[in-house]
Amino acid sequence: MKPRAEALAAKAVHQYRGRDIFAYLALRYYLEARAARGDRWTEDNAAQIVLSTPEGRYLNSYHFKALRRDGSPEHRQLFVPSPSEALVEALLICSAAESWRKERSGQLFSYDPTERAERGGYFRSYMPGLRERQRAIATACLARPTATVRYVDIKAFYPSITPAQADAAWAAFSERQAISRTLVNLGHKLIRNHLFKPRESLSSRAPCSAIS
Amino acid sequence: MQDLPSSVWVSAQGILKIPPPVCAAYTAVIQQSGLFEVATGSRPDPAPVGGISQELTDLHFAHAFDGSVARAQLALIDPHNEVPITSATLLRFLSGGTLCIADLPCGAGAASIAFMGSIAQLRREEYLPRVPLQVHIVGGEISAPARAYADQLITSIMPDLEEQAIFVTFELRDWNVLSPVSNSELIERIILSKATSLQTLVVVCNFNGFLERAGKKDEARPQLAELFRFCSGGTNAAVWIEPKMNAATGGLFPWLKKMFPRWSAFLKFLGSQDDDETSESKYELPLKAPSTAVARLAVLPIDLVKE
Repeated sequence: MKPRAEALAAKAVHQYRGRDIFAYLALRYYLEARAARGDRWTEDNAAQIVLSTPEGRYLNSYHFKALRRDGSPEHRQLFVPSPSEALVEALLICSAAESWRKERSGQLFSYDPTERAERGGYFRSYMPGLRERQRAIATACLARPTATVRYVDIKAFYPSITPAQADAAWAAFSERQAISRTLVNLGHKLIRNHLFKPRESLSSRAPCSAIS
Repeated sequence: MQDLPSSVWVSAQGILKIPPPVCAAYTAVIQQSGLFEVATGSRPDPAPVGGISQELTDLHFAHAFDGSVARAQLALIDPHNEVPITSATLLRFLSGGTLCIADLPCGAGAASIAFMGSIAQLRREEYLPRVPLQVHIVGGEISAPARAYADQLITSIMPDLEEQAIFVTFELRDWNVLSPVSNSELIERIILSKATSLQTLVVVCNFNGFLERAGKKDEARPQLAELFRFCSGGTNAAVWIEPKMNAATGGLFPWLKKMFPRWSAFLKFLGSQDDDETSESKYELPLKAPSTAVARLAVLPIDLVKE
């Protein structure tokens, strides 16, 4: 009998089960190998695979976003990673989560990373954060009855982040939080991999793009 | 490694099995070379240590190649959990990505073939994931006949490796560890391969006969230091594999451990100063199955990092 997938592998599978069918199937196929199911594989072997692969391996995938006024569909373009890189994403986000929480300002209501042992994807689901945000807005309105609420929706925010900006943000964050050298290198490697994709900015909602 | 498939390790009997494609390639080359009778006959005493001539190379290839493969495979799969640092290091480098293996002295390619053949078999058995692994082997060996055997063997297992996403290129070079020029030429080839390989694994195997018993280690020291120094930095490591015998564990290894502090600017010894990582196991003889012999292993794991 094959061993149960440990925390990091389970996290990556949960993340991509709801995100992209091809990335999910690739992970399931990869994790058929019993040695790949343990956290140690992710920390030692998957990390070294990513570091020693010159360019990132991504599948250019299109996800339905909305219908345009003329009725035609609009898609998000996603570059889904190889299974080794998906495992490394889980490792990076779990490892950086504690440091990340220390820096939260109380004004960010999304991308709340899950605990390592917690079932589910890399981040808590969107709705609880949205509810919390609405409550914060209500509290602010009650405290300042004459103020005005302004909603701003920044279109294509994540694709607008350049790899150079992401690299600088990761370098500053990891220095402030004394992240281990291997993890720092892995973070820079994932960002550098995006430089070789056929566009200049980061992919839409690439999980690591949220670390800033 | 735990719960290994029976095609590499029969746990009930404690027998290591050389992967079938490697056994088939070795058997074919032995037969093509007219060495089958010699190889299936009784093993000379003392055991052959090889040499530059065709005759000495043939004798060593016929009687000692399978033992060298089994020893390297034992270092990788470590079924008794006796060489965990070495096994983890090897598996980390052989899991995927781009890799240069500096196989020195490569002889007939036993170490490289054992590593890649075992990884391919573990992938075939769904023990390891089938991640693309691009390997460039730089083999250094003074014996031209041994290099010719290595060429035949590596070439013949390449289709089986490719089925498991292991893509191999190789170059086998004349290398004399006592010659600074020969050594520099070899290092130049390793450095060039770093342009496409982001990991370098230096594998030194079965060198005690020449360095310890023939008393050449002091003469070889500057070249060994140069080799490790130039291979240091980035994601690089070395493993030094020898048969577990007095010449290695009582002579060569203590000498190397004395050298390591002097070379600390470019390497870090990962093992213990007092105890070597050692292991032994029966292995099935590829030409005389199901008969077995014993592979004895002593190994030094080394991280090639700059201070």
